[in-house]
Amino acid sequence: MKNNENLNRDDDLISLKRVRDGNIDVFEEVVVRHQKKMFNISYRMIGDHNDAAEVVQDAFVSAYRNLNKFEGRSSLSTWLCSIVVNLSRNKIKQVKTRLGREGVSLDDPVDTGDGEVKREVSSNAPSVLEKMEKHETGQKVWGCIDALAADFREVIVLRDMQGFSYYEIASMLEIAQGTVKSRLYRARDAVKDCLKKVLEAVK
Amino acid sequence: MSCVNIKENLSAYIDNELPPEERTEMDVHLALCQECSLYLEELRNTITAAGKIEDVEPPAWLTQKVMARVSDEPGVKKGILQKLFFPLHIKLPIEAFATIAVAVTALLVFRAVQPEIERTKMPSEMLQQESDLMEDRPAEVAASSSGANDIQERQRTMSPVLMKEEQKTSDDFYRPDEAEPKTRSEVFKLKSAPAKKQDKAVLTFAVSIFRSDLGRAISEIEEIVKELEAEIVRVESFETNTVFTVKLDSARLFVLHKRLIPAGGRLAEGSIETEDLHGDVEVEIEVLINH
Repeated sequence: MKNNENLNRDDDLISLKRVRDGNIDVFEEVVVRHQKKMFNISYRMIGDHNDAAEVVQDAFVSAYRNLNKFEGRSSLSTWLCSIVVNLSRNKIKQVKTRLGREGVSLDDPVDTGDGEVKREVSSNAPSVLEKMEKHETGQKVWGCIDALAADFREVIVLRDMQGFSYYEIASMLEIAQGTVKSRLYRARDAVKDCLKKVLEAVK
Repeated sequence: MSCVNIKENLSAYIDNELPPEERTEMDVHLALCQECSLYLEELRNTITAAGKIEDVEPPAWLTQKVMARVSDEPGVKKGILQKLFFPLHIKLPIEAFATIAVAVTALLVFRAVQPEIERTKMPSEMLQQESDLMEDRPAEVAASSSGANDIQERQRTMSPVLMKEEQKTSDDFYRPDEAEPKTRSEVFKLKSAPAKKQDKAVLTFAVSIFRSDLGRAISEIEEIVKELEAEIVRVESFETNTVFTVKLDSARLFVLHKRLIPAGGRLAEGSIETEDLHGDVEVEIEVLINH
């Protein structure tokens, strides 16, 4: 796995150099190589295909504009995904504001800084448990992750679904590694408890 | 046994993110504490389950859309041709390039037809000749990749479009089957004697570029042609090279040569001594593709 990563890293650096030298076409290689990871992060953070697609496009354009700012200290993947995380966060806030204007969203995460881990769900809405009974295990797990507040969902997506290291996550989210560690613990703990309930409810 | 602080470290322990001393402490604790071992197990399962969630596929159009937006960005020197292309997002392999080249040729020829009806052949005849020439080279065409066949098809499908533009000057409709092959003007044949009264210079410039820079080379040649008030008379596209036939005033040959040098050009055939030449001459610019 690591060998693969090193090779990809070299490919990225070569592609970038050629783009900087004026060859736009090569940028397409970069897009093809990284879009899946970026799209998955965005989609899992935002929850909407179209919004995620838009964010990924914006991220690539932003990267293209700021290529000279990428110094190669981190991998290109980390850099691109940082941009995606930031833009996804913005999009989430946008959507929230839009929903706020249109009406109450039942699924609004309760973001009291580092407080609530779970979203509060109105009693009229089908509970997370009820929704999940119909789906398979994989979707049940996702349901539990999706129920997390954005900050906690972020770290699960980046670590457990996309495999970034604590160090990389810390730099992407601009938080201390200690914060990554504790946030990840609390998020995983919450998902574990949620899963337990779901799997028991199915019995 | 203090398990309160242990759990948070367990999460990092699973990730191999504990510093060595803490890791050793954890190993010891786990050996002795069943509750924490159980918790470790549950946590591991949760993480594994999360990791098993399948990736979703990005939409198929995403790459094209990104490239379309990126091509509108400033920063890289682009010619008109690339800007024309990217909204459609076709890459610039030779085959696709030929389509545009023919369109550019058609427009330039159209402009030339007005003032120079006597000297320029009717567009229908020129198209006929192009297709005749294509037929003349079955070996080359057959030998090249299927991309070249696309060139032929595209050139044929282009002709109705071209003809619409030329209706103002000609009532002839180009029908490939019906058009009579007129006396082929040697002006349009490569490396042959001219039909015009003045001398045709058999000059070939060779420009050697890399495949990925084809778009840039095209735009540079286009600019040079504009600068020198020249005309692109025809363009022929092959597997390994593309040939522009350019008509310009012989007095400008030196400048053309000079301008092609930074693009990697050199004079391959013929001489640019202008004493023997007057008026317009025709020059071939051959763009060689390296990989």
